[in-house]
Amino acid sequence: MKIRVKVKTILLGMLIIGILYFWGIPQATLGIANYLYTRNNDKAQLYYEKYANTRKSVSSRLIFAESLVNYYSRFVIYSQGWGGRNGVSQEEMEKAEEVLHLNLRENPSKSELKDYISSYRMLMDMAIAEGSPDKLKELIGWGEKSNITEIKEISSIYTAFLHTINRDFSKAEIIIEDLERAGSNDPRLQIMRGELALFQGNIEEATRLYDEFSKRNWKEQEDTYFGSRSYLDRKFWLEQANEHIGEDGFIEGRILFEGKPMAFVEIYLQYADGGFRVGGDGYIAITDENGHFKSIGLKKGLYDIGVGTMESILVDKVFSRTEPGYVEVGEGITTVDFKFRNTIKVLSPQPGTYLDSDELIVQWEEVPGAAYYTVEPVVFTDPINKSGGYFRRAIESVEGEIRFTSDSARFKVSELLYASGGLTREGNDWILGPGAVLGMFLPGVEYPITVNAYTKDNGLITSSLPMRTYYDSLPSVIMPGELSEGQRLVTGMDYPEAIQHYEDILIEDPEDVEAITSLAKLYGLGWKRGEKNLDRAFDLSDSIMESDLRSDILNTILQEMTSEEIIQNEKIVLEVIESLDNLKNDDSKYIEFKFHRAKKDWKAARAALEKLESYVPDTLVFLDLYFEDYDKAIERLKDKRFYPSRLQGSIFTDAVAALKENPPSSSDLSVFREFVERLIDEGSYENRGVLYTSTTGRLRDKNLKTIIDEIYNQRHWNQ
Amino acid sequence: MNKVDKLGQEIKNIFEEDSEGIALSNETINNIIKNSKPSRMVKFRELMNKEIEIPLAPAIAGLAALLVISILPKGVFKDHNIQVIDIGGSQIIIRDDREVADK
Repeated sequence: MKIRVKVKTILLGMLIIGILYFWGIPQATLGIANYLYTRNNDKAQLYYEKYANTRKSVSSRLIFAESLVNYYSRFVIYSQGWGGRNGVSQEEMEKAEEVLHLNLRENPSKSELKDYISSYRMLMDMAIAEGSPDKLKELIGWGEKSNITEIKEISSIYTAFLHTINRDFSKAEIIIEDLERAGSNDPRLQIMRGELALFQGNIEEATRLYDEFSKRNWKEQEDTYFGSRSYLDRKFWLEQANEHIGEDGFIEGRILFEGKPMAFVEIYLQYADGGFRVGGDGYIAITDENGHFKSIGLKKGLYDIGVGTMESILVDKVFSRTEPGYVEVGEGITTVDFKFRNTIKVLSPQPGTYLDSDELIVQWEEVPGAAYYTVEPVVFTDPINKSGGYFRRAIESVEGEIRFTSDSARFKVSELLYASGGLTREGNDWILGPGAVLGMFLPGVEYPITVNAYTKDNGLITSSLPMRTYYDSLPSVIMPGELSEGQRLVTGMDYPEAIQHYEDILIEDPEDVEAITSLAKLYGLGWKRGEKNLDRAFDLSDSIMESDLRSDILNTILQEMTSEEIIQNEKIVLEVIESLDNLKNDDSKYIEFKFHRAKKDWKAARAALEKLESYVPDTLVFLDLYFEDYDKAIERLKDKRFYPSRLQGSIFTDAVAALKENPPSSSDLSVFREFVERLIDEGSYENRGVLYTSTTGRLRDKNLKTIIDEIYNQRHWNQ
Repeated sequence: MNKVDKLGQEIKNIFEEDSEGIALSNETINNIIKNSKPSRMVKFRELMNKEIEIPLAPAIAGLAALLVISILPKGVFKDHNIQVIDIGGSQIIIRDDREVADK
């Protein structure tokens, strides 16, 4: 179909299209971008970029940069946990920086001046968030030379910030006073005043200033200042920080990445209570341009010290955990250093390596100072979709080692195929997670391989798995073959069908390894509550010819057995313990403790826990106290293998030491022993409140009462 | 005013009477048209009023394509599916494509 149109009509149409193209399309692009942005759609960024590229104006570039770096969140790392919201990537930071620098090259018109100034300010905020004092100084220098008054003022404010974090307080104050005298009402000046008061120990004044800041309009409160959005939280933190802040002591230290200082990293504090909070409250210091920090005055106590930095900085960095987690603050200065390291370079396997033989060779570059290495595949609960939970476990080499002192290790894949995976339960019926039944490796599935380097005290020096990275850059292996029918049924958690399927296979072939191992685990663990068949599980285990595989499966089954089941199957459990004796894994050694605990043989239970190599459990300390071996208890609390706990604090250790000087009466000791027995017995956790009140009500010894109070706090029995 | 109008009417009548008997051949008419020079304005008007035939479907398709190309950013149909998984506190980003250069 054709239409007849006059030339003048066509020209009019083209004019309309032209206007639409140069004005309407960018506006429509911006509209779409804003719409997608409000709906948290990732594609919004593409439209903002298109808008910036078509408009090529200061305003459009600023909008694009703000869409890229829209949240200055801090990833918080405490000894007991770490986390944060999924923030801005390194690539987004770089792109935003690039477009904002284009803005600074412009000669802004009057209408563009506001966005031009904002671009400059944003670049400085990003430099701080990125931890780059060099970039910040360069920008400050650029601003000083500008002939725009507002730019000069901002340059001065950020100079004051730099002086403040470098603890050159008088220089910062002079700048702030000058700006205030000139009539500036920038909220940053108020923040600087608050920070100066805080770092100089005037908590009352800092609280007052942050309270004033919190009365500003919401837009000002919500804005980003000095690369952070946590200044509003200062008020709430300082108001409730009386229990922490005092004049007893200070924490001082450095934060380094491969020996180089990390600037502008925030330092946080929280009670050593086992958990951790994200969000950046508990702020006590910030690193200067040399990576050094000194906290505000703190009261005596045991604390967990955390660091907060932009996630983009953490890409391909490992947080080195060579020191014990909690920090005891006393009088004077306590030094705490934090180290980030490069990842271990794994030479083999490369990402996505298809395994075509029974041998897996893992090779890595040596790490200076490493006492030993471990190799740990990452196994997901749902390995096919890489979702659900995950677990990592050091795997045994062909030589039966799990700690390697050289730079390579060899593994036999067929041995790992049916070895136990991660044990998880779901729902009220305690439905077994497939990982517990499926082997460590499944055919056709990809498994990331991590290598960790440790000190002789089991402190993590570095790892091939950084704090943040891309999956496709991780070394990984893809197992050959396809999932069997049984594996498919287990993966889909169709357990009754899987059991029937494997039983049918065993009728045809009684030596089928996959059927025997899978059934042994399904019966031994019980695919749901009440579905255990230990006799059948042990019968099946007997028919496994390969001894390590048999031990591994029995080990898994025994770990899930209750004290009652252990007593009922005493003979076989003892046999298993004897057969497990050669295993290096601490999990298998813990089974021996479980056996003696079930038998209520506390002396033997204590001896079993002493055999653990990689960690010292608090149960062992409780058993030391049970046997009045107070020196040993204190020695174990100081052991670097003791998992960070408030029990390492002076309240608990002083009470233990005092018991040595003033031993408890026999009646108190008897009450305490009863407490310990119930504490370490399974199930006591459900009656924790009753256990606490019934014990403390009968005790007279104040040191034993303190010990029980501390256990109460450590285990959060008040919650 | 009336005098002028009367004179004008008279002249017009005289011309009409004189030209009543004149008849121009087609050839002459064509020659006159051919040799007379139209003004630029006339030419422009003629051009503006010239009608051309446009195939409707391709025109609409072209226009729509222009609009789509102008509005849609590059890579908008690419699935930038990014999944972040947590492995022991490490954030692992699973991406479908590798547009971003490795560090």
